[in-house]
Amino acid sequence: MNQKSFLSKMKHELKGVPQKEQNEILSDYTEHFEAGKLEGRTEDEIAKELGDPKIIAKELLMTSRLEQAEQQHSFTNIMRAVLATVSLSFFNLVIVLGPAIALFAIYITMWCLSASFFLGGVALLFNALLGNSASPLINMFTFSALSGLGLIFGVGMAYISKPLYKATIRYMKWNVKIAKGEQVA
Amino acid sequence: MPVNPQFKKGVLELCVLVLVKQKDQYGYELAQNLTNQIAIAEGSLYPLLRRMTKDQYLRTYTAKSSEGPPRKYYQLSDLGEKYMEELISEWNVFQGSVNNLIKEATEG
Repeated sequence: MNQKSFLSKMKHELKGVPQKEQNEILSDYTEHFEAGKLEGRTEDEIAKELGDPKIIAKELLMTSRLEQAEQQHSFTNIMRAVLATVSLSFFNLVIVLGPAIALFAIYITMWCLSASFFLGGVALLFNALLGNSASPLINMFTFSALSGLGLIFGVGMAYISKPLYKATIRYMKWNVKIAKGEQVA
Repeated sequence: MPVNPQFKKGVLELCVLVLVKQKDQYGYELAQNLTNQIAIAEGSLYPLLRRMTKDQYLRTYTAKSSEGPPRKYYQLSDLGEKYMEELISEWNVFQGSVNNLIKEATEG
């Protein structure tokens, strides 16, 4: 593989990376090739020592995705970061995607639970107000209890959302650093 | 000697810090100095350098070279030096423990 095809393969895989960063990355590798050629190496040799551009690009994409998720908190960004991490290796598929899905499912369940507590309470209140209930007082009491519980749950969930998001990113960062290693060989 | 890649990945960061402390180096130079000791795919050095720069362990600057175009040099920051010292002491403790373990096990 010569310099040109190495760089174009890499560029192809870096589509999800912001343009500025993409240019920086490609110029780093261009510089590497130029320096190697000055030492009398051929483009083929240099490319061989660098390794597979696709795999390197995947790692770069992942780092970039993580950073985007870190700077701008959103569901799309974190999912992109998770997917980029997972695509790195089979090992990550197990160790990142599994926990991510479980965590997300628990998270959604908790929100649904808090919403249904609250709505259940409200329904009871209406029931009492409309006079459909034999014992409005008990109904009112249950309303307060249920919606109170729902609200507390909801506030709790809102409270842990941010730390949870950050913890997810930290976990993936740690994962890049230590766990995966197939490309370093 | 073939070494477990997982193993190498963890210490690569430490090696980079130590090399850059010695003197500021450009990417290709750093790659050569690393591969003189440890076999790695040189391409994976750059993602690491980017991360370390973003974490502010390294600083970069561009300087002219006597031959060819200007090059990007990597320099150790104060934060990077502190981090390097932490990693070195962790490494020493770790390798000491592993050595003890091997010694005890092989001597019965």
